[in-house]
Amino acid sequence: MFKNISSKQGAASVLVVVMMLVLMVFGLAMVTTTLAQLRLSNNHEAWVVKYYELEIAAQKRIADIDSILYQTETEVVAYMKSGDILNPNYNGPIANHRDYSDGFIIQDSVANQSQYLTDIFPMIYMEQLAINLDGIETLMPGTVVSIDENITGMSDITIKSSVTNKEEDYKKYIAFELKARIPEYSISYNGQIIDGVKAVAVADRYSITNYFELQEPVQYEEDIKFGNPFEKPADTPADTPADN
Amino acid sequence: MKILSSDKGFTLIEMILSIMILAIVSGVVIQLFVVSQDLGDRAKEADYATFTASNAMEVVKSVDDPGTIMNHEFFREADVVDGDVILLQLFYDEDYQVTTKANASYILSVYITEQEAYTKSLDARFDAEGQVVESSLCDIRVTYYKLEEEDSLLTIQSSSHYYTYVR
Repeated sequence: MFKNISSKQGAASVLVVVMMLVLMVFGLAMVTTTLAQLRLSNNHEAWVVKYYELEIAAQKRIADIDSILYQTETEVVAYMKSGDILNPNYNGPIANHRDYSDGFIIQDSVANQSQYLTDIFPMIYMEQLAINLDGIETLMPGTVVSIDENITGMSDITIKSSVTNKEEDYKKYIAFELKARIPEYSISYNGQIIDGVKAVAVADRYSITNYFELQEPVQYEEDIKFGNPFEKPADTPADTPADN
Repeated sequence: MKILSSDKGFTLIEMILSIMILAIVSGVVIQLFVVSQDLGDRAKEADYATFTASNAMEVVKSVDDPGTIMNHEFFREADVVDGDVILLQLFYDEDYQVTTKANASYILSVYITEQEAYTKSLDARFDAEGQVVESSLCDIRVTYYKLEEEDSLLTIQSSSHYYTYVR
C-alpha cells in the first residue's frame, strides 16, 4: 500500500484533475460575481426608471398648482386692465371689490391713483389667490396650504404637497414645498386708461423652497433563483401610473 | 488487463479517451469564463445606459428653456431634429465615448414634447406689447439603444415644468 502511495505513476493526472477543479471553482465564482453585478445594475436601472416616473406625478402637481396661480394673476390683471376696479356695479371673480374701489376714489391725483393701484395689486392678488386655493386639499390629496403674515404685512402663501408611487418594490415618495411669488407690476393711470408692466425678471409665479425624495429599501428576494441571465426583463409600460 | 497494467506506455484509445475528457472539462471551464465575461459586459452596458440616460434627463430638466437644450455642453455634439417634438441624438462607440453616427455602437435619443393643456401664456404688459411669459409642462423621454438590437436597452420618462420668455 505504501509502495502504491509513494509511486509517482499518475501524479500528472492528479495535478491536471486538481487544476481543472480549481479552474472550475474560479469560473463558478466569476459567474456568481458577475451575475450579482448584473442584478445590481438591473436594480439600479429599475430604481432610476421608477424615480423619473414618480417625478412625472410631482411635476404635474406643480403644473396644476401653477395653473391656479396663473388663473389668479389673469383675473387680477383683467380686473385692473378693464377698469373693473372703478366699476361700482362690478360682479366678477374678485372678492373684495368694494374695498379697493373705495380706496381708489379717495386719491386726490392721478399720480396717487397710479401709486395706489401699484400698491394694492399684490394685496388683491394674495387675497384672490387664497380664495382660488380654497379646496385644493380635496382636489390634490396630500396638499396643504399655509398663509402667514410676513414682516411687511403681506401674506406668505406656502403650498406643501407630496406624491407617492404604489409599487410594492421601489416604494418612494417626493415631497415639495413651493412659495407663491407676488407678481410685480408697475401700474399707471392717466385718468382714462390703466396700464401695467410686469417686472419680467421675477416672472416665475412660484419658487420651490423644498424638494426631496424618500424611499424604502429595495425588496430583495430571499431565495436564490437560477433563471436565464440573458433573458431580457419585460418592458415597463410607457404610462405606468405613478400618482398620489 | 495485462496491457493496461503494463508501464510501457499508453495506447491510442487511452490517449483519445483522456484527451476527450480533458476537452470536455476544459470546454466547461472555458464556457464558465465566457459566460462570466458576457455577464460582466452586460452589467457594464446596463450601468452605462443608466448613467448616460439619467445624466441626459438631468440636463434637460436643469435648463430654463427646453428650446435651447442643444446649446448645452452635454448635447454639443448631438444631432438635432426640431419639429413638433425636440429630438436630440448622441452617438457612442463601443468604449462609451461620444462619436459620429458612422462609428456608433449605441444611440442616446432625447424627445421633448410640450403638453399643450398646460401651456399658459401671459403678456408682461397690459396693452399686450410686452414680453410674453410662458409656462409649460414638457414630457421628456430618454432612450438608450444598442445599434444591432431592436429593443432599447433603457427608456426613462419624466416631466418638467418650465418658464420661458418669448419675444
